[in-house]
Amino acid sequence: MEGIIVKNLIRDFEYYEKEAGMKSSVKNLFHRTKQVRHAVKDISFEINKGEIVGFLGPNGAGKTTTIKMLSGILHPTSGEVYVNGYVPWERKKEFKKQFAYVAGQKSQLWINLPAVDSFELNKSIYELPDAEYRETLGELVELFGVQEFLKVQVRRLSLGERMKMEMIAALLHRPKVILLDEPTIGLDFIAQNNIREFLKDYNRKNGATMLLTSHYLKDIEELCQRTMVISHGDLVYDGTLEHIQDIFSKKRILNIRWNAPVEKEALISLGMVKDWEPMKAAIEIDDTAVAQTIHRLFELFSVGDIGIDAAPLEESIARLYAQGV
Amino acid sequence: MKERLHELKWYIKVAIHFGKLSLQSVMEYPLNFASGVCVELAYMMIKLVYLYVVLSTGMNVGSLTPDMVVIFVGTYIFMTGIWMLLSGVNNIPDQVVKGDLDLIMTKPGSLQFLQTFGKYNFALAFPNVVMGTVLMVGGWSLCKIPVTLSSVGSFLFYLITGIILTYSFGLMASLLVFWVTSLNAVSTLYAALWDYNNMPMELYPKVIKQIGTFIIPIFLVTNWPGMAVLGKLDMIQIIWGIVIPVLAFWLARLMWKAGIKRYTSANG
Amino acid sequence: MGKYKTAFLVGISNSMEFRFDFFMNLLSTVFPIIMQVFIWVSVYSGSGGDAMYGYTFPQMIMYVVVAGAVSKFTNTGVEYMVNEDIHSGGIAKYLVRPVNYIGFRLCDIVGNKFASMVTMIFLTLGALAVLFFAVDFVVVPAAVLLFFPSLALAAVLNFFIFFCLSTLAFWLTEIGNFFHAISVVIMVMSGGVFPVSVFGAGYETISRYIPLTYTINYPIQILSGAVGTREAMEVLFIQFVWIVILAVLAKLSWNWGLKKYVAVGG
Repeated sequence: MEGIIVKNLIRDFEYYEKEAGMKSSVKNLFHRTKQVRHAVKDISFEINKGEIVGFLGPNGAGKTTTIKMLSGILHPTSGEVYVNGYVPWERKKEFKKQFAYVAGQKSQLWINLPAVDSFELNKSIYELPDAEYRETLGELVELFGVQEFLKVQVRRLSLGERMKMEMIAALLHRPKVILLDEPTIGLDFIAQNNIREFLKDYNRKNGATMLLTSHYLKDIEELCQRTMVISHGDLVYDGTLEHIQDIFSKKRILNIRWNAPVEKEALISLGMVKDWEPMKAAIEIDDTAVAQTIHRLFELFSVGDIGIDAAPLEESIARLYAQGV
Repeated sequence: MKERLHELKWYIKVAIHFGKLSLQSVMEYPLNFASGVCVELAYMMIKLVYLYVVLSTGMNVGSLTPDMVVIFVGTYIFMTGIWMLLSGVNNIPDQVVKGDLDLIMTKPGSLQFLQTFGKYNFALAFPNVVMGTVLMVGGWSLCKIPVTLSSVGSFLFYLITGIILTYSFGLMASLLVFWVTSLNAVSTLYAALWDYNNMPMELYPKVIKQIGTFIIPIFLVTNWPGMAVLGKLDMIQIIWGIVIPVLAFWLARLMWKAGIKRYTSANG
Repeated sequence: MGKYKTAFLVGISNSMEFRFDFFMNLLSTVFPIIMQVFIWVSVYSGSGGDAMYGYTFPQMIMYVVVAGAVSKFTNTGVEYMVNEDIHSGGIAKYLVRPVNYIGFRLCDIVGNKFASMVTMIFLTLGALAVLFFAVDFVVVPAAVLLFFPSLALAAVLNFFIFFCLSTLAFWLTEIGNFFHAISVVIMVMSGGVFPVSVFGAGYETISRYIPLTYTINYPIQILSGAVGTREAMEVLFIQFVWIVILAVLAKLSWNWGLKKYVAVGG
């Protein structure tokens, strides 16, 4: 059975709470109150072979925890997961040979050595035949265009180049399932784009199943036919991005600074006033009304500076939740 | 059978590859190597001061002459080198706190193997292993112990059980990170216990000897090779010296499995 | 004073936070001492009860019991702070202000040590009481009175020794490990493990003319009564002289290093 099946997955974390001060320290010496945080609350979904699915949500929503359970790094509190028919946290050798886990903030490369040394190590660990290894490596290096950096110590590489090397190291054994946790985090625009293009290519050529978390909407938009939105440990949406695109992309926030003070009341007719001070304001409007609203603003007031931003992800999700899509 | 053999070949091949990469890393930064050696030489000085007191006063430690003590201190310094070599074991607490076991957990093969034999610290091991070997060989010839198959064999046998114990105890101490909030105190305590081997166990009163043999069997790590070759092991000790390493290795394995289940993979 | 009270309470509260650690730390302080005691029991039983290395058996036991605590107390760790300030560029903020960096660091450390001095007094008195019952060690009241000032001077002396060393950070970048190694060597040479007389008459003579032994060995000798009141006063005086010499040296090498620092532009 290829693909991913998740049924009623739950993960809690326990931690101890301590109030400030001496008295509670002494109290803690004898007894500590256990607290429970519900990171993932009863999630179920299925992903078919060859699908690219995006996992969208703000920080701390439970994306990373879910993907770590799918990779066998974390044991769940309860629930079932099958990745290509294997239970991930049993960490069977056959399972590990057909999947890869890539995380933007974790490294498997030997930092003091050129990346190619780490690749050779993975060749040993995954028992890749010489010819196959050389072919895959050549292909991956070409796709990323990193030939010239192969023999440079990893610590001397830029963040973007380093991430590309991490990707190569993770994909040398041609995994059928790839789980990616924030693969583009902290990278510049061009490097982000490179990695997206690469993943698309890889999926097309190898038919690999991919699940990717990101808090960049752009990643999901370009890569995934299907999106899952997670918020506070709950799966709040599962479907195409187009269906919810409106909610995510429709709203714009205008951040305006005035040359002379403007009353709050004067702005209400233009859109929803999110933030107001005498000399500046933030107004939320539909994306279709941007040009018109800006035009009106210049007509009515003395505008010093204006900036246009997308509405924050957290707010869009709250709206999604409220609408019960 | 064929599969077992294949697996064994894999372990050996990967372990050698790990060793090679650790060595290559050292060669990229020879200055780091030199400064690591300096730190260990400083600590070794303290260990040697104890030996110096014994040699300069000419005191007997229990039934052991100063020449015999040289063998024991040598074994202790050698074993300290082995302990320092296993940075894959010693780094576990740090890696657990930072959530740095994630990627290695997704690699095929035994996680315990990949982690504990994945990195070596040659800089810290080098001076100890060299000095330890010199003292063991030197003490051996000072005592005029005949070099026979049985004397060398029994010495090496218990040296190997000592290495197994060093690995197992070190691993257990590191794995406590899964149950204890901060591991600093545990490592300091373990180091303090370890240092009891700076002198042969004959130095201590009977109660401590019994505790260090049967309850916290730390004395088995460095005393048995010397005692075996000097014919000072009784039957119980000979058997105990075989049972405990096996038991410790097995316990460390159990603790490893229990600990990994508790791994929470912090985002660092 | 309120500041120190708060610091003291926060310190205790933090160490209790990790309850397991609290007991473990206690044990790991006691364990090495027990081991050293056995070594000396063995050495002295072989010698038939005579004094060795200039110490009677009770005096030697007292030495090893107190040495660990004294070396912890006198060790200031200033070299790491200075190293950090130099390499992170933190000294820039002291350069633009009318603050004397050495003076600032000294005050900082004296403040810290003030709180641990209280612990030290209780610890010493406790150890002396235990030793009285365990090995019939009788302490001279004058020795105790002279011990604490010499301990305070020892900490200041240690500060200047390591401050001088730490200015090396102006010229060398990767120096953390070096400090680590050198501080262990200095600890041994100062008498932090065994009395310096153990290392032979030769080193003992030399040790009189270098500052190291005045940070650990001589303060404990005062407490053990191995030196008389008059000699103890001499030790205090020599400590003071070394402090002055090293303070001047610290100032000179600091200024020298700073010139290089400013010239290179950090």
